[in-house]
Amino acid sequence: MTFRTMNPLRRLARSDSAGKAAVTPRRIYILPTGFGVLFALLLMLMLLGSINYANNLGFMLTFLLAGLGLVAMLHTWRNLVGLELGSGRAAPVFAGEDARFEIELSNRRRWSRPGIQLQIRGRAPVTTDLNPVATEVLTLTVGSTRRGRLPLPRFTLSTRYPLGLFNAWVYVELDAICLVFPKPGKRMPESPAPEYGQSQMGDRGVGADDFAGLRHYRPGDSPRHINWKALAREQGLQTKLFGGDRAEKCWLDWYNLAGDSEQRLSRLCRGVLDASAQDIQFGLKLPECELKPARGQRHRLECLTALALFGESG
Amino acid sequence: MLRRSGADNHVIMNNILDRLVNEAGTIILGKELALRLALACLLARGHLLIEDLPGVGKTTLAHLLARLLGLNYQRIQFTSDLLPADIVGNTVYNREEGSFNFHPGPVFSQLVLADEINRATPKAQSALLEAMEEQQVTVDGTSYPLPKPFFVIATQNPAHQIGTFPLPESQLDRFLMRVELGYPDSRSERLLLTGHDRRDLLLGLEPCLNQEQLQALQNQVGEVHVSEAVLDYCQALLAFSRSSPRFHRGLSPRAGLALLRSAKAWALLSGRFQLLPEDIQAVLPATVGHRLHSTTDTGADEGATLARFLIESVPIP
Amino acid sequence: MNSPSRTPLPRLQQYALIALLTLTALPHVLNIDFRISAFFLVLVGYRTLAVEKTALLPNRLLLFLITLGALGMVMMRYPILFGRDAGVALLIAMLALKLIEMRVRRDVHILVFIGYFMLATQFLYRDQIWLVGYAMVLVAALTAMLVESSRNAPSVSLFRSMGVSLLLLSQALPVMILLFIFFPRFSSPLWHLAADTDHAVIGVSGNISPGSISHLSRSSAVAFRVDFEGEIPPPEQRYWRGPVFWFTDGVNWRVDKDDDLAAAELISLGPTIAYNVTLEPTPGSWLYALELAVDIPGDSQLRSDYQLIRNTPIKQRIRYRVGSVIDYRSGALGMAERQKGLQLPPGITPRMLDLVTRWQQQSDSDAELVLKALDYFRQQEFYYTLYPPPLGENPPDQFLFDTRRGFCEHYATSFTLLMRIAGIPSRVVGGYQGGQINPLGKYLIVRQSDAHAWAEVWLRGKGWQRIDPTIAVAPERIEQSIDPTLISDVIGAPIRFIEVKGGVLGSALRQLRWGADAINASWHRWVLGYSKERQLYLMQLLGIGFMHGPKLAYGMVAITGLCVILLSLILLYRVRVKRDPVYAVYLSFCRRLQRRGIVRMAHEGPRDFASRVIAAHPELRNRVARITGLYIGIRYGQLDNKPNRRQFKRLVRRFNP
Repeated sequence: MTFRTMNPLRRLARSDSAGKAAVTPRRIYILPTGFGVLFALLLMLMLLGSINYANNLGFMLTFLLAGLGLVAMLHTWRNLVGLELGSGRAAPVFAGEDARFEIELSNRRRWSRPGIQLQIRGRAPVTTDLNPVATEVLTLTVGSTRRGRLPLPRFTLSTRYPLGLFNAWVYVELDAICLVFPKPGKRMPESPAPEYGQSQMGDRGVGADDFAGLRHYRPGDSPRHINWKALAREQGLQTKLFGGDRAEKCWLDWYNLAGDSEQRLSRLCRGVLDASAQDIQFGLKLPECELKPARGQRHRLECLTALALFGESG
Repeated sequence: MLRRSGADNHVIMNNILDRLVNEAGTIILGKELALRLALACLLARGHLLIEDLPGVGKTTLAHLLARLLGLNYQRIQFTSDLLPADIVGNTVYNREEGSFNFHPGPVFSQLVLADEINRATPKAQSALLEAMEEQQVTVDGTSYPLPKPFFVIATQNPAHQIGTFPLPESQLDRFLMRVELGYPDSRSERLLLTGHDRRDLLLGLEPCLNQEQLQALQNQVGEVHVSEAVLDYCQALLAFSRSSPRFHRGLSPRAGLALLRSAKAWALLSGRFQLLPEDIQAVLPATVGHRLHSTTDTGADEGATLARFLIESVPIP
Repeated sequence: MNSPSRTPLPRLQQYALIALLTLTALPHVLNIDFRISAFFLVLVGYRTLAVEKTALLPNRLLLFLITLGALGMVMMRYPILFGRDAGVALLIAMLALKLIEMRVRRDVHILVFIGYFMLATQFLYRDQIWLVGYAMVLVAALTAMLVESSRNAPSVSLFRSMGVSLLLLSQALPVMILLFIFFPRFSSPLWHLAADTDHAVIGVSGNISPGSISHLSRSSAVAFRVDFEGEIPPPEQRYWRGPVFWFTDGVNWRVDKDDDLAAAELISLGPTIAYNVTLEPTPGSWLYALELAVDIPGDSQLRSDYQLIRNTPIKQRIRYRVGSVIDYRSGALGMAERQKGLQLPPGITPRMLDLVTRWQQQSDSDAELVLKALDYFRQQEFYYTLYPPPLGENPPDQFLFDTRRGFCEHYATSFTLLMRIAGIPSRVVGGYQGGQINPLGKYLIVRQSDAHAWAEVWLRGKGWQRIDPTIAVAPERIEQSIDPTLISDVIGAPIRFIEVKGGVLGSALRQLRWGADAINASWHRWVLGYSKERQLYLMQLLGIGFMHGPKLAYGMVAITGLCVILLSLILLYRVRVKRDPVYAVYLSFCRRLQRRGIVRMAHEGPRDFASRVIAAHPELRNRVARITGLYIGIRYGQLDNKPNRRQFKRLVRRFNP
């Protein structure tokens, strides 16, 4: 990724093995803002005026404001020092959607840190005022363009507090990855022959939908399932069995599709979404791997992940 | 002088506790941690939830505790057709006396083992859980107090098994601890296989404590010294659980109280009258595991993972 | 990009800004044209209404029109947009316009900066302590607005931001003091702006006429303050000499402006008295000195008639050091001087000539004649009054023979006139006489009410001699000061002098007044009067006298830099989390173990850690167990007492695995 190529001279806060990045004093950059420059000009003007009129009170006010500027610089710097950043979760998204990275910002100190801002270059900033000894979670959004793993780009943590005269910032790199599924494409073609799968248990009464047969009563069977009519016919206690785990199965097959691999992947993605919406058992066949038919959220996630990471090793 | 006699008292109690743990260890093999947690839970006057597969010794553990502590003991097997009256008892018309008599249910005993609690319908579950909370049972408008001490050990199958009614979160909160027994290690299993039947051994066991001693021990839990430093640590844990995005929801103040109480019992069980951060860490997975939920739904043993994450994330101040 | 700066300003902040900025401009209402003040107040009122009803906020066209109107107004009153008053008027107009335009958070900075500047301009008009206090409060409040606007969400209460602002200001204070002391001062302005002559300064001027001194005497304003290096001389010797008047038309007396001769030779007969004068702005450029100045300040010169004149006009308060002699003998009288000293106006009446002729007949020498003249003032019905009756066409004649009621200038001028008629060269001297000693500050305050005029006559063998005819009329004038608060408006009423009143209340009141003036005096001396000379003096006092000019600038930068580094160290120190001392010692124990390769994890409890250490290094068992046991006892148990803490510290210090 282009944003990962970095200037070796640039100091940045990078996450350690625990996924946390700390803002240490040497990593902070600080420069006056536009208002800071304006403030300096104002001070120059006041100083010239004071010299000209030999006005000691003018000197006094000028110097007080100059001191204020210096102190503000230190406080701006201090507003960042010792902050800790960690990456939270980033829910998977479909290509084209905004990936939302959660950034955990913790202030372990006993003073508050207002006016904190996180920003990825070119995106809207996210702001907060941190309380003493508190952790807050901010969400940075990144546009996802293609499927695969989307790393959290480098972002800046900055502040202008307390006077807005100086801007202190740190470049932060956190290890966080958002999984980007392919963009759902056109509908899959109907599969040539719908398959009916059968569970190993057969229809031996483990389901609840379709009547599957009778067997002898065993203690513990629900009274509701006892075939009372058969008892009346003096055929002994019999328990009704129900089946229903037999269901339609379908295979989402890479080889049934035409087009380049990305087009195929996005149609397969649509297929996975449709199938899981209809709660059909489905399997996924890709050149690299094959996922056995199943259903449920976990299976859906596995299939989408396989599609997202298609062609990437690991 | 007074302090001195208090200290002597402590020593005696320590001996009793040691014996208790040792005796129990001879019956339940390789489950030292679970056993100690169960005892701590009892000393902290809390109810215990054991979650594990059938056949790992849940029932034996409950039986053993009853035996060792000299409590009377009843077992309720929860099934899908269990009715609330089967637990709390019902009023029966006595034709000879011409009046209604209350026949107390199995819940009227000092130690109740509620086996496979998640097999029963929510209605039946809540009958027991209400009794746990209120320490009394109300049938037909009359309240009947439950015996003292009253201690419930509920067992539960892992949630993903078929045909279960998992306990709702608010009900889970009523259990001070949730422990998992797990399989014994190979050495203990060998002993188990070669040795006597555990149930027979149980019958031969003499109680280690009488009721007064148990009560005294329970009272002593409250006297364990809690320093500012430990309170800081406790609060840091709670605060972290509330702020970290790993957790779906932070720990409630009630969870904090439960944590502190069970940690004190644990300290007492280890023969100490001061609370250490280690005590909190020891009981944390059991006390907090069933109250924490991950934001990323990982399913099985998430409680333990989260508890470990919590412990490792918060430095001891 | 910077969305937070474009969010609309919360109402509370709008109100606060409007109020604060109005307050910054408020003292100017007295200084500038009332129409501009009125315009400002109208716009502020309008803006205040618009806080609730945003529909009232002007659109671009209206804003443009208001801008034009404001500019037009300022231009009308101050056609040349240059100088102090014009600048302030422009600034106020700018503030009003910016207030009207205020909508979003980024406007706060500009407004606050204008506010700061407005406060600085206040000091061009006034320099009292109260104004400084007022300005400081406003600076703190304005800074609080900056703090508030640099947050993302408004704080719970603006007072919290005020707290931050006060903290910042208190930390900025040392920087201010250092810069104030070390910033190099210049003795002359960088450029001369058009003089704003609107505001008259009072004091003795180059002209004197009947009534001009008595007019001054009604003001209790301070003329100057004096610190004597030695003893303060008695009141009768405290004649503060200013302008010397030679020429008269019978009514007015004026100085000899063309005289540029250096001072004549002088024989001093007594010791030199050294003192420092803090002079308030006065008309003209006379430096007041006790009687005759001998050691004069650098930027001034002594004229032939012993006027001490500064090279530049005294528009600001200045401070200078002078050495004076009281007893002296001046040299011979030059021809030109003699002529000036005998110049007579038209309108010498026969009765004046008669009077002088009578004295001449009765006395043998000039000295005797002088005494005769003084006797005349003493014996005839002369009264000393601030409100003399109006005099007609020939004031000296009317005063001497008809009204006989007058103030010092009447006596001094008529006496001088009589002397000249008698042929004795004489002149009128203006200045101040007396002054009050502030017992708290041990210095002398000379007020405008101490303004005085007297005569000097030239006597053969003695030279110029001071003669004060007022003493002949009202000897108490010399001993006491006039109390300007007790002056009666009744024409001809005798003057009351400041008396030492009895009673607790009176004395308390007096103490209070002295105390206030002592504060004021040190304020003037140390803050307002801090000049190049005083800076040099202070540097010498500090033993760094070599620091002047550019060196001083470097020194200032260095010292201020040092101060900033110190402050940042303090802040950095506070960055580190404060720890329990026992815990700190325990951490040092852990660090010692780190050398053996055992690192304690942050979440590892002391017992767990100890057992891990003992498992790895059984030989440390006893010591580690002892230290850990003690630590647990102190930190988690009930064994927290001094001896235990001490022992714990000792054990850890000795623990060197």
